[in-house]
Amino acid sequence: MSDSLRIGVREFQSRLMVGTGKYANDQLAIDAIRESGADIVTMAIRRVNLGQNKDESNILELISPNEFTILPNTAGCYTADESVRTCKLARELLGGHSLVKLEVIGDKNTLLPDMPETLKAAKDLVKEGFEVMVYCTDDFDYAVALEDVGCVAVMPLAAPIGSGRGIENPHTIEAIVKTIQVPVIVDAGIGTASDATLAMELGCDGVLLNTAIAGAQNPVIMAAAMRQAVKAGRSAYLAGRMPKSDQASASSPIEGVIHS
Amino acid sequence: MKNIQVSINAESKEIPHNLNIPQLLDFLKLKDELLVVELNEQVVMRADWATTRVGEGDKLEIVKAIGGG
Repeated sequence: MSDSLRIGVREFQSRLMVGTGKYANDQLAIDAIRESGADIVTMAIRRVNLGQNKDESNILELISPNEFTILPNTAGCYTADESVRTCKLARELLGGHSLVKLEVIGDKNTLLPDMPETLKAAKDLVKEGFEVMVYCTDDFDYAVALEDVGCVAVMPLAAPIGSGRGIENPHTIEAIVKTIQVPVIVDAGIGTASDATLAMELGCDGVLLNTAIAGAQNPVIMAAAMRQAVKAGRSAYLAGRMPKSDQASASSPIEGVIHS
Repeated sequence: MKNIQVSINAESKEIPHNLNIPQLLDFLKLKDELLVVELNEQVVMRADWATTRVGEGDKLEIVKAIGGG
């Protein structure tokens, strides 16, 4: 059965999206990313080092736009203007590619997003023709507002970036999923496979994670676990879980039990 | 010809007069593919690299993609 993910006009087979940061080396990064089965791969935009480094490797040679859909992010930006500027650089770098992950950070310790600036940046980017996948808090009103300004995906956090704490507010995530029409992708805070499964069971359309794989003892095995976890959670959501009950209910018939 | 002072990635640099973007990247010993250049806060489209000249006091940013989440 085909169950592809539509984001704007694009269609993807995998509902797992992965980052490319924090890997011990390039080979481990590409091995884990391939094992994850992800179609969409995030990257950051940074100044080059002005040194004698003509042969320094470039991540786009390793993780090619021919193999993956590159999702440049605005990580490290603290204002709407900085993030719009970063997206424009990314678009030129990637030959006119307009799909971006917007994040505007509000605080350097918590790395929680600055939502008023995020909303402002989202409006500006949509006006500039970008397809905006937006990282946000799990705030219901902002999620709705971000859809209203034209974002192609809304990406509430499970927990702070890199914390691995899992989904802290499943009820608000569920409320967002039930209300907005564009894909909801849990982004940040996933720690292990069961967290990704829970996100999908709540009805999220996808999961975006980085440290949960890159920071695992064995990233390649964890990448496989995440691929399976997202699929399992999605299937469980589509299947429709049994109702919960306060009462036990025997699975084996009562009738015909031998009694002494 | 005199050298000029510019800012590149927030570093003050002295570079030769009247370089275009490919010549600037060559001067900086940077491979010209897989990076993007901003001049005075405006992205320089690759098609305009050859005709864009760097002048005294210009502010440049030269960026690339790196690993991130």
